[in-house]
Amino acid sequence: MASHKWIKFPAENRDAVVKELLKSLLEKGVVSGVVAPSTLPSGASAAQSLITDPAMIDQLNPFAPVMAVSTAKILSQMTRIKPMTKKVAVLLRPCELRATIELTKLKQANLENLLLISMDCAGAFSVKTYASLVQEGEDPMGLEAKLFGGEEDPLLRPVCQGCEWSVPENCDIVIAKHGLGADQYGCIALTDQGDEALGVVGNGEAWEGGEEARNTAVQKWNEAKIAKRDAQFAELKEKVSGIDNLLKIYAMCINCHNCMTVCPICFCKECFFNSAVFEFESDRFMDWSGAKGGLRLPTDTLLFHIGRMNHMSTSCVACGMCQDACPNEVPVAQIFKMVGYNTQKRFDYVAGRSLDEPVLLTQFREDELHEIGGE
Amino acid sequence: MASNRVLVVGSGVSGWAAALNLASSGVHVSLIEQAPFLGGTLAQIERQFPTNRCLMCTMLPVTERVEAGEFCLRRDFYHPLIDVHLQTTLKKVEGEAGKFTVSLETAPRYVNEEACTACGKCEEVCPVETPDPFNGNLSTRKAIYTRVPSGIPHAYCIDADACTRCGRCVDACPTQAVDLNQTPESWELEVASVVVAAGFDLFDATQLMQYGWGRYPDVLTSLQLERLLSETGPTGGVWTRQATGDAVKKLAFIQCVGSRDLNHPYCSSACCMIALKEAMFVKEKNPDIETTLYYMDLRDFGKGYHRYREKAAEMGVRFVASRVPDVKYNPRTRALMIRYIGEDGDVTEEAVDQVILSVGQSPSDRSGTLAGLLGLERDEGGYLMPTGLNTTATKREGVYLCGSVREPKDIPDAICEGEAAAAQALRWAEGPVVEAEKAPAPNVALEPPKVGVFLCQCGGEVSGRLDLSVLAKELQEREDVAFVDEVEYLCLKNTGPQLVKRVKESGVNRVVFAACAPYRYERLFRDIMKEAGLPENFMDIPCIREQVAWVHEADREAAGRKAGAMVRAAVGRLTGEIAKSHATYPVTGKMLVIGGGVAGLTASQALASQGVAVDLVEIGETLGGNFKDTHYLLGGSDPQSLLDELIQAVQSSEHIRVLTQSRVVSREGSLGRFVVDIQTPEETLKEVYGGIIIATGAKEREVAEYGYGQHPGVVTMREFGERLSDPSMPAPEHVVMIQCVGSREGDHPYCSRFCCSRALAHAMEVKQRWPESQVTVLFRDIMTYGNRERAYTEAREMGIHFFRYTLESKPVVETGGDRCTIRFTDPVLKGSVSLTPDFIVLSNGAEPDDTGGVGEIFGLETTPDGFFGEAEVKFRPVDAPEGGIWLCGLALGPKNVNEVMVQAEAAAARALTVLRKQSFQLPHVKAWVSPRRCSACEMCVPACPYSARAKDEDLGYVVVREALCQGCGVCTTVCPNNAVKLISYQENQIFSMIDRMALG
Repeated sequence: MASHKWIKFPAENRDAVVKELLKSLLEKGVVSGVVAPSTLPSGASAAQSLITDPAMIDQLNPFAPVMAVSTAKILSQMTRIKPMTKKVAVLLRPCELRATIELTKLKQANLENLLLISMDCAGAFSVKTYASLVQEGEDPMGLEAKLFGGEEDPLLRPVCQGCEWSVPENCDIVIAKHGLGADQYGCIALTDQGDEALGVVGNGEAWEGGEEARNTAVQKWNEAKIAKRDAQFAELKEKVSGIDNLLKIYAMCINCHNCMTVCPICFCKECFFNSAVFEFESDRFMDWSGAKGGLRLPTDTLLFHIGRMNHMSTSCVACGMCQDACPNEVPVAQIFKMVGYNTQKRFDYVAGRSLDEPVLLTQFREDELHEIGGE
Repeated sequence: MASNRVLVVGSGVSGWAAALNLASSGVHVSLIEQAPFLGGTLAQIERQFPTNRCLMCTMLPVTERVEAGEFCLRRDFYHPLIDVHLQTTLKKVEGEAGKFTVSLETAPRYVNEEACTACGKCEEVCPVETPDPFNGNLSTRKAIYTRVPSGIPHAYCIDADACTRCGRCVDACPTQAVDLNQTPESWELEVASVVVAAGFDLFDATQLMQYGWGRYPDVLTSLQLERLLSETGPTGGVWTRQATGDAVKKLAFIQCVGSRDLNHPYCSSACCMIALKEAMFVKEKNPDIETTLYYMDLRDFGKGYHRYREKAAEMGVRFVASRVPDVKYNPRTRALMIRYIGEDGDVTEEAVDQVILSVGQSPSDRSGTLAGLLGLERDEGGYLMPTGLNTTATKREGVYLCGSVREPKDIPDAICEGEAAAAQALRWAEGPVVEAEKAPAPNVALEPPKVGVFLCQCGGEVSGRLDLSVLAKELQEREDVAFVDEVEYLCLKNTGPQLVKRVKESGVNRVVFAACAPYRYERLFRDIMKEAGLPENFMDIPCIREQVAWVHEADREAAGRKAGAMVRAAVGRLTGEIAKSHATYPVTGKMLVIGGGVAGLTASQALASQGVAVDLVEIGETLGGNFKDTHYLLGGSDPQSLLDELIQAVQSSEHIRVLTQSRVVSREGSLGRFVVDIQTPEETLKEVYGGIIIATGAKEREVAEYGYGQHPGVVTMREFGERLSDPSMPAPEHVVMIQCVGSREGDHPYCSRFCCSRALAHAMEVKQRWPESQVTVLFRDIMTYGNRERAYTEAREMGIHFFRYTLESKPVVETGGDRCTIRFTDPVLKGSVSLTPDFIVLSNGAEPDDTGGVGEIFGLETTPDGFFGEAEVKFRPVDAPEGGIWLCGLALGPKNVNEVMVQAEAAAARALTVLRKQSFQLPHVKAWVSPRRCSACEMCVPACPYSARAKDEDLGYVVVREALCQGCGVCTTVCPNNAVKLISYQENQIFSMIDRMALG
């Protein structure tokens, strides 16, 4: 890894350097397009755009700490039918990167001709929070520096607060913060393609001895995140254990299926729960009600969540999109993260960790789950 | 006209393989078994090495599998073309191949199998307790008994020797099935050919008094330990010292009991591995138990076996190369005393708690009789003799031998032989059997569901334990249920016509038979459906006896609730049933064989001899493969004339097209219709085949050890064979052979299997040609399994010297001088020996070779050693995991040439099961994909255990390879999108089942 490029440069130039990198890549024809967030006209949010004209790079807001749509979902849309024929650079957060890896394994995205640029991620705000921060005149970008400085921000999305995967691994270039002082940012190439791309950046200096400093900082960062995650899990577990608690925590669910719509892993053409399988004749409803004297309607509210969990939690990257999308603030991302984490751990799998690890559902291991199934 | 029936003698694994293969090829089979139950020795064995699983059921056909029943083969078995005759022996064979008349005798069972419902009332009243041989006589059973592995009952029988004729069982039987007046029945049959798979007898350990079996309770046979460790065994898996009931702390296995001695001049081939397996089970139970194998040579020559041995060693199993002259008992310490003579000749004594005798295979006591009535000869060990090592044929045309009746062997070899014998036997039979055109069943899926329900009382076995009338009343109220009948016995022969009549008259279009043992009665109920003019799959068999009445005996109410839920669920599933009956799948009648070595040549010839068109593709310029370099074989046959004959036969066959310097470049399609591109020197051919045999061989392992390449005196075994084949070769003074060069260690942790035999053949050739020459063989374990053991004995008698070396003290070769010097340790002299031979010959073994890349083209799996993997290493030894592809020869792993030839014939036999009939019936339960819903995530592709799914790149979604789909439903559980549907178990049916179970 150390054979690849490690560069550092002053922190105030972060946006400028990334923009320069992307612009140079476009101008020099290394890439034909760039996918990265731009500020929306209202200024209250940011969304990805595909830029092919170098002049428009200036409009980017590459590090806006908000995720309106998962970049993984966008990449799936762009590459599922046909892989990119021209090279495109993509700036995305580590959770989006992991979701992209997962979707690639699920044959819903294709990494061909993509230059993946990810970043040390301090977390993001929900769309609502980001908008109100902007409207109140606060600079959400300013909050990030404090986060890297070690402060907790209760406004951050809860899954981000306890995110132990906020350092990217499977990309070509990392925009690095860990291991550098408050006044510096870095660019690290992880692949040959990344090296080649970083070659276009003019300024910046070699980041000598960066690896050790970075490892120490990442370890410390992750420890804190894991501690937070475990505290979140402990608290949540109480609240969701047993069917009664589960019904209680999902009581606010209005069956809108927003969580499924925004989930990058939910790739089905048509969700099973939106299908005709759940259409029944009137007598069935009367039968069900008759058995208990009463029946919650619609019938498939909790079943939808449990079913979705069953289908995708082995690939859940805990990006938190679902919770942002919930109109009634059901802690759906936290629940899915906890279940996903525990299921994946059991099979020594981490969603999005590696392209070489086959998705769990395709695997059969003779020796597993002895404590449940016995010998 | 020739008969379309084949007689198979013996229902052990080899006979079973032969019978199943013949039946799948469309021939009637009469399978006779001397014992009252099927399955030979295997029924007693729960787990097999090296998988530590049973997996016997994987032998069942993969096409038209529903016809053959789908359940545990250790419980029962049926196939519409196989007539099973238990307690039946062969008495006479007259006539000639194609038209034999065989005389048979069936001994009385004293229980009418068709009437027996296995309720067990007879067993309760029987006053006789007699030792149970199924459990190695470690437990008792009654004189009227059934064999109950895994707790599923089969029809009873009476042990005539133990029975006192008291008649209590006759009175107790509710179906009048017991008949003490039965007499032996003689009958005749016309058959086209005979396959003899009469198996072996386990060596009787009382013959070796010195080990104290039968005298000391803690001297047991390996089969007894197998039963003691089994949860279906005499003690439910509780294993202790037999004398005291204490835990066993020290356990000893003595190998070669009844094998490899003066009276038994053969190796039993499987006992080393059986002992390893049992030793590992013991270690699994308690790692602190000291477990030692006292062995002469540890013969781990099979596929994956050396790795298995390494695992045993890792688990702490101790190996002592030694001979054990006797076992004594110390009454003071109550320990068994083992004396063993080590490699160094020293005698050591060790106290142990239990001794396991690894008793070998002995020639069956029937083999003498069989030899007499078939006019066959027996070898000096007592085994029946085929006409050659490479064949299952005997000197009597139309009579074939397979399995341990001709030589002791392990399961995969026995199965290959069974299949090879089937291919031979098939040649004489008419056929294939074509089922009479029957009127298509009406498409009742479109009619409103009208379900008839039969509830079996089982003569009180069910009705006495739960209230069927409550269940009947409740069911009757359902609008889709037309009738609910309680019947005393659904299974009895005379009940059938009444059921048919009831179904017909009531006008129902779906039927629930709430009964027992679906595996046993499925065929019966399907026949009733057919006779009643309904599609046979529009019925269900909830098992309300074993799964309800018997297990919930204590709680009548709960039993009633559960039976209700099961029957209602069955009704629910059937109301949504839409599946049509079986469709026919066409098969292209042409085969592709890849590889022109002995395996490919033999397979091609075997196929061509049955009139199948074959394309034989060979990447090299000439046919013959590695065998071209073989000049000497054990037993003296001439390899090169054998090969010439084979090549001649292939080249002159009108059915075979030989394509040399050609390779397969791509493949599409699957079983029944593979579309394959073949690159020949001139052009690219696009051909269509029904199936493919892959026989791409292996290559010689490259050597760097022992000074090879540095001195002309150091040669490989192949090179030495070439020198020997030169008649002008001068007499060598001394030849030293080193076995296991780079094998069974490091990155080649497997035995190459042929090297020891080849070394012996070369050593004996030297000794025969130049009696004055010295030959020394340095070995780790000599792998002369089966009858090869005789050659080993002979070689020693000829004065060839054998010294064991270990991995820790390998021989050392110095190439400095005019002649090489080799130094090794003589374990007896306990000192270093230094020799300066003319030749140091290295047995360098084989390693995988897939030059043509067929592994990738055909999506084959490879073992950790790099050879191609079969569907199941024990029970499907030549089937690739994907149906329609068969494997044979060294591509599967190293082996001797006779095994290669048998395996190639087995592969051809497997292919004939599909090609001979030119079509087969698809099962009605199978998956299909909704293109609208499929997101092409392809998770179902690797999840499918039968390679029955593939993405169609043109269509953009996953399609089902119909011919391969087994309807297991794994795809439906993997698909998140409900794009996969399993016919007969579609989501509306499943939901309906759940609803009816939950709501009542």
